[in-house]
Amino acid sequence: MMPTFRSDGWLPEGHHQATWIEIQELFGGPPGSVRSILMERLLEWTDELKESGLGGFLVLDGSFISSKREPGDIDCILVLNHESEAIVKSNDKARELTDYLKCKERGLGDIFGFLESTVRKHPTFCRLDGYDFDRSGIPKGVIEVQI
Amino acid sequence: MISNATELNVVLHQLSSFADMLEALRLDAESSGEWALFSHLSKGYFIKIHDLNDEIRAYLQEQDLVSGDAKAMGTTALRP
Repeated sequence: MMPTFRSDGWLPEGHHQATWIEIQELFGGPPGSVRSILMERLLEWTDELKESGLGGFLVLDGSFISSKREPGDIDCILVLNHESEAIVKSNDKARELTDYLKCKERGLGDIFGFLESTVRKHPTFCRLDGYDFDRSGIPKGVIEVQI
Repeated sequence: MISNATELNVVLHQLSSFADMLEALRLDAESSGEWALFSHLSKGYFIKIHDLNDEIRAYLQEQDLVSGDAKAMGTTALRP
């Protein structure tokens, strides 16, 4: 069950596991809204990731997962699973889908690729907490969802 | 744009997180000898770190100018 927004518009502190249905319900916005356009972009991108055989999870952050009516874009960390590493290395489409600048071009925002295997090998350097504070230093929540 | 010391701390935290993640990817590439993925994934981190550095530098320069002005004003005020 997803938590509700705090009065400052952010989710409560923590990495909240969510399903795509919950994400659509909470952040998808009404039809035709900025939110719905961003949601569509996010779903199109993740569908293409899956079609290319890529898997893992996303750590979603930024105004998209706040209560802001018109968020600017979608920021996230894309943590690719072990099987995806070989696919990214060998498949042009998979490389394009995980390319920071290409993701920007399709209006997604800052998408940072990372590897699950790196999390296991170098846990102390694997900081998925870069977005855990708002600009005034108050801890806030982010969303984790399986691709 | 950073406007106070609290925001500076938050941006420094972000900078350190992204630098650590980049270092983790580099260590991984170094141990496997596989640099293609590092080269591909590191792009975004380099851009973000560069942007955060610029933001921090701009704030610190502004603070330096402000404190420089204050010092100059103080010196002027003390002059006979």
